[in-house]
Amino acid sequence: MKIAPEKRTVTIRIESNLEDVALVGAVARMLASRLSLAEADIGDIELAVSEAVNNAILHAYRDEPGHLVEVKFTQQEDELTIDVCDQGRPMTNFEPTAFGYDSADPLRLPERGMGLFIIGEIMDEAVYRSSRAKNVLTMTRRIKPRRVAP
Amino acid sequence: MQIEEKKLGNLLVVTILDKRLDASVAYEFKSQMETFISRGDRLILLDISQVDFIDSSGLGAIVSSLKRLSGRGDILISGAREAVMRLFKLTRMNKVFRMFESENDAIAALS
Repeated sequence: MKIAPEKRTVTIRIESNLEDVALVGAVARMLASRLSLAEADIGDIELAVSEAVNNAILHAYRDEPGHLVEVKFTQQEDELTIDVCDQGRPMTNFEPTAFGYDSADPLRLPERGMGLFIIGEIMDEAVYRSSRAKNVLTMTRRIKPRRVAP
Repeated sequence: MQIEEKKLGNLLVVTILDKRLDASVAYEFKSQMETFISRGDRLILLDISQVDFIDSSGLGAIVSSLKRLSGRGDILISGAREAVMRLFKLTRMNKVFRMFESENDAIAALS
């Protein structure tokens, strides 16, 4: 008999309140910790999820309270997928890799726009979809098995 | 957010006492730094040794403070933990700010 690979799904919903992003980050950290990931990878996932939820609150909802942000974590075989969903203003330009500046020119340093870049750097995939008044940023991180010393 | 400040000669040491410098406190932090700069503090050592987590908004607030100095001062950073240093490296901000392992290291480098 073939045993279906284990799939675990956890969904957390918060209101569009920046103070509650830490709760989602804590859930991300807790779930990532159960995947035998290195501490640096766990921190990466917490950061990427926090950036995505910040984006939903600050940009999709323009920092207005009372809106819903739903974050769904799906662990399946060798990957962790995180969907961050909102029903606010859709992003018109999703370019997670577009980020550059001259570090020698302090007056032109970027203060914003780093979130998507960070997500693009940290996650193996980041796909943004918007349809029927729902926006979903799907981020995937592959889980490499830890090497065990012989 | 909780911040501690102390003056060592012309150096202002600002210690963040919170565990997080994130989007929920970035504006407050930026305002506090602007107050320091407006009253004439031009050389600031930001001690983040107690901070576990910084997101891009928190980092943006630090960058904004540096820009507020308009090239007539500097912000140094000490005590960045591994996860926080990762953010600085990802965004190359470790090339923008002079970073030290500890407050004492930073003070020694300045003297």
